[in-house]
Amino acid sequence: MKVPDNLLFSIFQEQDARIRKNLSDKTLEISTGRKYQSISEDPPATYNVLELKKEISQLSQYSKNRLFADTSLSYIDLNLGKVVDSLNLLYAKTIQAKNQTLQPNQLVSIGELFSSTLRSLLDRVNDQLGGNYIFGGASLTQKPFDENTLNYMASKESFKVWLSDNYKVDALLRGDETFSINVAISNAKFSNPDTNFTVGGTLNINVGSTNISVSYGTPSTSTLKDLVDFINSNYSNLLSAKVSQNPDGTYSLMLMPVDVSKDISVSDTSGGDFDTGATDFYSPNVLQAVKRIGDKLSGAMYPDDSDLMLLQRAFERISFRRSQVGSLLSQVKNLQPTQESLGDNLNKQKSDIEDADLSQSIMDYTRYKLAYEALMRIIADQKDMSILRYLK
Amino acid sequence: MFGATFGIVAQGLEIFRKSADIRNRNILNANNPDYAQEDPLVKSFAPVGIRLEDILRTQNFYYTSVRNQKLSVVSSLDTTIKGGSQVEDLFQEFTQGLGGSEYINQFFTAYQNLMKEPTNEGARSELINSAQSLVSYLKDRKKDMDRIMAGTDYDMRQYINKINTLTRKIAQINQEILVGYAQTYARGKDYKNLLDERDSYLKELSELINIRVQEDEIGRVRVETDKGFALVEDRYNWELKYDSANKRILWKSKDGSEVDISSLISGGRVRGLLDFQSDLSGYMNQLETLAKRLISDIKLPLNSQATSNWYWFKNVSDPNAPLGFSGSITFSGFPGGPITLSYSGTDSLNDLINAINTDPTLSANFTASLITNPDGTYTMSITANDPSYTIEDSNNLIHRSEPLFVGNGISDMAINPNINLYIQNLDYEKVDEFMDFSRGWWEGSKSIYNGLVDNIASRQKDLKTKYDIESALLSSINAKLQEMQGVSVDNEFIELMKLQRSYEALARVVNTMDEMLQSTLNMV
Repeated sequence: MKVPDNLLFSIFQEQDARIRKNLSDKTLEISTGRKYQSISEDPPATYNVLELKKEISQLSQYSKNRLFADTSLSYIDLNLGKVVDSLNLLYAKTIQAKNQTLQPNQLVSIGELFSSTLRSLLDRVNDQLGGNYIFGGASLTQKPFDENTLNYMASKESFKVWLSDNYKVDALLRGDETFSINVAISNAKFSNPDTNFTVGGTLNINVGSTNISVSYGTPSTSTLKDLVDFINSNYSNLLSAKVSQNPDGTYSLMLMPVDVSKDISVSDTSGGDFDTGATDFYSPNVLQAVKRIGDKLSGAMYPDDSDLMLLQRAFERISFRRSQVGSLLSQVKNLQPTQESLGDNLNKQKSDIEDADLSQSIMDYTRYKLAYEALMRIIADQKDMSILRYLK
Repeated sequence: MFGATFGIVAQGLEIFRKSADIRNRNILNANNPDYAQEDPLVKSFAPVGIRLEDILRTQNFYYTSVRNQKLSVVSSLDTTIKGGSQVEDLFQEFTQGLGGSEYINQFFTAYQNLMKEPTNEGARSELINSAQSLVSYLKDRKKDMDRIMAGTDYDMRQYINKINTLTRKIAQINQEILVGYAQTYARGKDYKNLLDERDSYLKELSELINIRVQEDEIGRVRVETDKGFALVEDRYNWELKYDSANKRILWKSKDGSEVDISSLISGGRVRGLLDFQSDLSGYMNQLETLAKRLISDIKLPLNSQATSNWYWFKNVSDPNAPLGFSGSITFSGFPGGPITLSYSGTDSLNDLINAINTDPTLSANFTASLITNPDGTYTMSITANDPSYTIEDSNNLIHRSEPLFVGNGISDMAINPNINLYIQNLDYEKVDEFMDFSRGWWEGSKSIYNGLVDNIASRQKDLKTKYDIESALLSSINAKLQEMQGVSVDNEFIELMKLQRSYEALARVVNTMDEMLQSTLNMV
């Protein structure tokens, strides 16, 4: 068989190109630390890397959201703690004031304490974090509580953030819900709790999902006090009723569920004394409750049992809300290690795919370098293997 | 007295010298891969002497054609790969921060960040900047691809010009072969160097376009494309033309008509470039689809100070097709409201629009329209006559909003010119829902982009694999061809030494004859 000279050189050139290509690939791999330089080198790896990049970005966003929720809920928890402390102090002062040995001016000074605490509470409930009101719900920039009426003005929805594909938490709470007290106070006012009702009727009371109807103006419920006793005797497992003296000296009916978590609503459409129009009973929020008692004290009135009950319930409600926030916070904090571990895993997967195994790359580089040197040696040897050597 | 002896010797010396010339030519061309080794065919010439019968060219024309066909395949793949590499370089997904996925991910992260902190000025400007970057990225890639496409037009014209030049040269060589054959018929038909030139042209032509070649007995060739469109016959050639507007290759008939032979070309750089143009066009469409999807999908939740427009958040492919689910839309805050409009699974989007526009109270306060999205899907927009009017869908599919991007495609894609107004008037109560929507938009955009990158990568990988296989086959055929027609210098030297011996022997005969003649003369 004839072996043309050109054939040999073609083979050498071909092999040389192949080995040099491998060498240059490995040099790039070692110098950049990346296994792949272009997307076509391994399309499945490219696809996986793109998927991982998105997952890592999404997870990073969820982590940011978690941090946001964590910061926000921690701050809310701190604020609720301060509110609880304030309410504790006011409760203690109310018990002190209820002891009727205090002089009127002492009552007034306690009333001033209530006023200053109310201002401090307003600061708490209207507090902001990062420009957003923490108790303003989803309206974010709307101040939640009016400083004069103490009414809630902001969104009726809490502000939520997503922490994973299927889980979102409240990060900024609704102030109306957070600072609501589940008591109902009648708008109807009576000058004396022992005077008979003028016109009898029926109260429709909803406590949680339980509805009850209580008639008043009957022989057993002819006065406000009788009605309170009747409710306390017959529905003690559900409700607690009190005669509550208003700051103007009149008396109203105060109803409160036994269960701190249950809501209450009361209406009267019977045309009786309690049927005062569109809203027969109202539920004061914590601020309004503090103001109500503070106003009484400022008017040198002694607080009654209903005031203690109101403050006690305000304290319980805020504590209840705080426990809910604590529970949320705990879930948010629990997510941290999960998200961090998932992030580490995703980054490792990405790194495994695209980062060069340097020891392997250096081994490969050495192998190709040896092959290259061997080829050069063969070419050098071949140059001498010719009849030309013998023709000199 | 010695008859024809001197004539025989002189003739022998001349033939040996000629043979040595041929061997020298072989050695000279030892490194020329297109050269076919030549061997002098010396025959005894009865009744006396020898003669140079022919110069044999050790070539298998069939094998050369097979090599050329394979060369067409390899060069076609090579051209497509080179084009694909230009596109591939635009999508550096393995270099952190350079991939398109980074822009998409950054944009959606910024969007979700804003939905988390809608009042944060940093998050607001981050969204605008990342949206601008995404738009610029898409426009830049489109420009890059347009530039590459324009480059293919230039290359294609070059290829077609080269094909026309080569076919002209081959037609000319056909003519020269005929003349050479006639001139050297009696002297060993030494015109074979023309065949080397012809083969070189045929090889060059095969690299550009796949051809079928027929050779006649003296070496002239007829060259045609698949399906028999002649490129060269005898001393005539037919030209090709490139129609850049329609990306077609036209065969120009002698009668002036033009035939589109694009689909008949199955190899060569022309085929490779046509394939790449088709690939590139597909990639550009995919990039366009991504832009259209972004324009069609992404919206911002807005309050009444920003807009009175409400959008249906479920794009449909057919506005007359049943929705497949039921629900109700409540219109509130307007004189005569609220009004609740119920729809069933058999109602279409157009039915909903008609119901709103034909209700006397609703139509006095709201106007519903069918919107054709740039991606070809449809949605409904409802414009309230007063910004304070509200609309609520029981399936949570209607929101007061405006699109973040405007335009119909990449070329006119831009951030909504009212973005600054919008971003200052986000509806904070809806941001968590839009964050939820954004996950779907992100997933959709990612899928389109991943599809594009996946197409580029897998196509390129597939081509490279084919190229490796086909070029290995080409190398193997080339090696066989080299074995067959290549020159071994050692072999040639041995042949030369043989010639030298014969030449020396014959030269001795001249001396002997001279001595014999002297002896004869001395006898006188």
